[in-house]
Amino acid sequence: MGQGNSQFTEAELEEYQELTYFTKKEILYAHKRFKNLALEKVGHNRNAKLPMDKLLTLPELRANPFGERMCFIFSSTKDGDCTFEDFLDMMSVFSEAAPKSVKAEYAFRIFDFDGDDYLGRRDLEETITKLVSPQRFSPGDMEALVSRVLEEADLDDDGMLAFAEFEHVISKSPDFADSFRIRL
Amino acid sequence: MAHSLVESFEMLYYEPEEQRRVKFADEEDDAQPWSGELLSSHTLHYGSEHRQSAWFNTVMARRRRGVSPNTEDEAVEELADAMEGDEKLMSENVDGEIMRREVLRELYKPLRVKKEIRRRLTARRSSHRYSSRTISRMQYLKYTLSMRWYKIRQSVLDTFHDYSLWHKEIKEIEGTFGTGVGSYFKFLRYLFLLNLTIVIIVCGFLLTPQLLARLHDDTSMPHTTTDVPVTTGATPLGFSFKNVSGKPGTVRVVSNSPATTSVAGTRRPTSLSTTTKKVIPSIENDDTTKVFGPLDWLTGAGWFESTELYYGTYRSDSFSLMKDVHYNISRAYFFVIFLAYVIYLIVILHRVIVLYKNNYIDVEHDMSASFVKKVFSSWDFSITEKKAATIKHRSIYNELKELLQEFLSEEQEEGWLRQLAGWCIKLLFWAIVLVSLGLLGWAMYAMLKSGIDKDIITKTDSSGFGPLVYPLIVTCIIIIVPWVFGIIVKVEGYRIPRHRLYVTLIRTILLELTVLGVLVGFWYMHAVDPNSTTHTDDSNTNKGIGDFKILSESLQEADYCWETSLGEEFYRLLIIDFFVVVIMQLATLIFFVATQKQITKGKIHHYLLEFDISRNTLHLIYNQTLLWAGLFFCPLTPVIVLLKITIMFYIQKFSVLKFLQPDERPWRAAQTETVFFALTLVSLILSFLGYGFIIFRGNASSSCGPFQGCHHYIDCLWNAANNNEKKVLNIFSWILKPGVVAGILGILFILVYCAKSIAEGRAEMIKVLRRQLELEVRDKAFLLQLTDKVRRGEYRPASPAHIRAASPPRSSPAAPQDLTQRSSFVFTDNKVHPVHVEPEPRHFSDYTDAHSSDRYSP
Repeated sequence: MGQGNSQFTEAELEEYQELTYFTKKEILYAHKRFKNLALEKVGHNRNAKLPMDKLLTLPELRANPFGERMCFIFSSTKDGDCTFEDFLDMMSVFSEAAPKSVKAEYAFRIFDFDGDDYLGRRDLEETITKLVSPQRFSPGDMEALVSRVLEEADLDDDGMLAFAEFEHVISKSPDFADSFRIRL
Repeated sequence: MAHSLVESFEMLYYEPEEQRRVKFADEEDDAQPWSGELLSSHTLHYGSEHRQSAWFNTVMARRRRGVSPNTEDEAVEELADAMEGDEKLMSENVDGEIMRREVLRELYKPLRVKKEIRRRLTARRSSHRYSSRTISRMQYLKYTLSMRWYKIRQSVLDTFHDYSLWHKEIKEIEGTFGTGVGSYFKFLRYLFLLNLTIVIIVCGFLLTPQLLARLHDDTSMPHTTTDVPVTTGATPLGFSFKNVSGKPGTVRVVSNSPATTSVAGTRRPTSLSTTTKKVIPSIENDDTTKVFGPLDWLTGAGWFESTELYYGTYRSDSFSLMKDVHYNISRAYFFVIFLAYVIYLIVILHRVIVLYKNNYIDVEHDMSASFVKKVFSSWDFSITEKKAATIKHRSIYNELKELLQEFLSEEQEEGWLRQLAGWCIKLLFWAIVLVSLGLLGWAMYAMLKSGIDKDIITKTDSSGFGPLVYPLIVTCIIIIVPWVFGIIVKVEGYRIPRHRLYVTLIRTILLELTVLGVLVGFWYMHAVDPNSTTHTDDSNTNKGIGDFKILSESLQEADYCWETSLGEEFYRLLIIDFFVVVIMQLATLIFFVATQKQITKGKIHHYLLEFDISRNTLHLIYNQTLLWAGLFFCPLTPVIVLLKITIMFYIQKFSVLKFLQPDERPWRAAQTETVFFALTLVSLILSFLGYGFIIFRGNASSSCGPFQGCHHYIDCLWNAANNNEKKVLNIFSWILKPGVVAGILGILFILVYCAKSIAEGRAEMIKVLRRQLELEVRDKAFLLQLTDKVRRGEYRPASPAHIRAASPPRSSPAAPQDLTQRSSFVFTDNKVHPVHVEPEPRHFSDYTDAHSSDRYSP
């Protein structure tokens, strides 16, 4: 198919296809996107590691208030820098074909800012702040909002959301799968 | 005891109320030492779908023993081992393969790790296969074959996925406008593909044979004008069927000497053959040949009447190009149209069911989750533009703020008097709307009637601007009135925006149905006049209307093809609608350019330059309804609609990307989409029913179209069945026997009953499980609290004898306070006592405040 896939063998593509929610063409396209971020570097080594700033130049991540979080979550070295495989992982989770449960899992990670496996009050505050970014809620409003969220979702009343609780509420939101999606 | 009654009541219905909040565990800062190894935190890592599978249990068992991998290699090793041990997962068939893929995909691990695990699994599997030779050759062959089939299927699906229509365009639109507008364009694409299928069917099975037949005639009889569908009233019946069994190769041609065709009516289709719809200069001096006029594009009349665009031109006989192969166009017409409706019905019904299931049934029970929804699923990850992101931020902010205020003000209940007044206002408005719709319908009817009168009296050729007036008015109504509805609904005082939207939608659909219903009804009444059943001249007389009496003598009437006229009407509606929309887009563009420099932008600016999803979607549905209503009379409507949709797509894409703004109001795509599809379905079903009614009860025009010579349309089919096969009739009559019908109904009834019982049972089960979950959570929280106390030496557990004494008898039903007793402890205030000390159970909620005031005293 020309030069586009010269960096991958058919077997490798097959492997990626099996492990992600993408078709071969989409994998190649994803690589093209990735390569365009740093032509020189990726052209040299197709699985080169790109720093987070470079990744954030991608329009999908640039406009996204959670772009940085996403890089952190999907980076296999946990420092925000991503190789192509990490990038492919990210795009695969956000693709249309990925099931809701997988999306929910990563969404939970993204909203869990302090990484303690629970969405506490502080995580929720951070999430809401990022959502409304230039605008700000007064502390009182924020408090009320967080309390409302917890009241609705916190089934065991421990003041924070475990993954099971998060998944439970997310599964009831029909818009979640639609909004948690990036078209490649 | 009243206290505990209230308590158990609360337990029955799970509603997270403020007063029932229990806080056992610490707040966010104090990390709980025991929480680290709770199951829930571990399920997180391995995909929720596979919690029950064997390999997962293996991993969990290792965790419980305290074994956890330190390095990545160890993790890989552990997972691979566990998966290896899972027989179901490793089974040598396609199911196993698919399952393996799913498991690996859903694993919460970086791709590198997944790759490693996959490699190990593959290696072990192949070595296993060669060493033990457990599977026979046969099995291996079977596996290979089914695997190959699976791969082929997958690659075909992938290809479809890769080359999906307008993928790039829709991505761009979603990037700048979000999923809401994207969903509109996807709906458009969906309709496009659906219509494309129908177009292929119609062209393949109806248009092509018809054109071939025409061509055939022209070549075989080059010198006479062959006016095929002429059957004067005398021998209409059996005409077309004689041909079926007739000699091959002969196409029935009635030569039309001027004498026999006494009525060379204006609406007589000619057989001037054109395979394409290009203007062919007419050579013959036949006054039936229409010359293509410039206005014909708009009116659909004139030259178009003699093309395959309309019902009237299709032939009623069969023809054969080869020996012994006959193609009966009349039957083809019936079946193609019928098939088209059935395809539409099935496809859209399927879609509605899927959407309904996903967006309503699965999420139904808990509308309270609104804050959660807004926080966790309001960001649209597909947005790529900074501008759109800013708007989205603002929109989320406003929405949350609104919701918060609504929530805070919800406390004050409205008095019943006010509520009553509110209901009265709503009822009043509904009445007004319905009455005005009725009036509108009546006005349309009157207008149509006067229009026809004029048309016939003056005997004008319908090529002037005259016929354009009606569709123009209709289009304006369709565009303006929904806008008025939108204003009205704001006055009515619906508190929830979604209700406002739904009410407007319902009214708009009613409006469209009124307009189209009047149109079809008018022409139908026109045709089904009792007098016209005799196939005499006065087929067009409308009973009770004097004006028409004069005309009934006119010879022209016999040749009047009401189906074609109605088809023209639909054509005009479609075309005019298209032009009006294009002009509106242009006007918006001009407006945009003109006001671009202005700094203050008023409401009009906002209204015009915002992409209103619901309005646009409704417009698409209107188009589609036109198609369905007109399909029978103008079989090429799908082609027109297809072209129109394509052009509209590009125009709208341009305007969306160049000068429109995203709507700041939130758009709940998923559920609203369902409503839109449901509306589409309603209009389709109504069209389908209308079509069925016309087929069975309507009178076919006696001198044109594929069903000429039959009284009702369906008669042609009966005749065919009668003539050809008695069996067909037998089957039909057997199916229609009361016993059979009753049997089918009975079975259906039982099925519905079963489904309903199952659904109710499940709902009950959910309730029970919910309650159980809550109880267990309380139990757990309580025990954790207790463990903590014991650990810090604040409390010494009771001896086993005490526990036994305190345990309630096994048989007694679990009352809420059993919770505490089961653990043999009861707490009062925030202190925990063994049960024998002072067993006075207290409500959990009482505990909250006391607990929070002095927990963990230093």
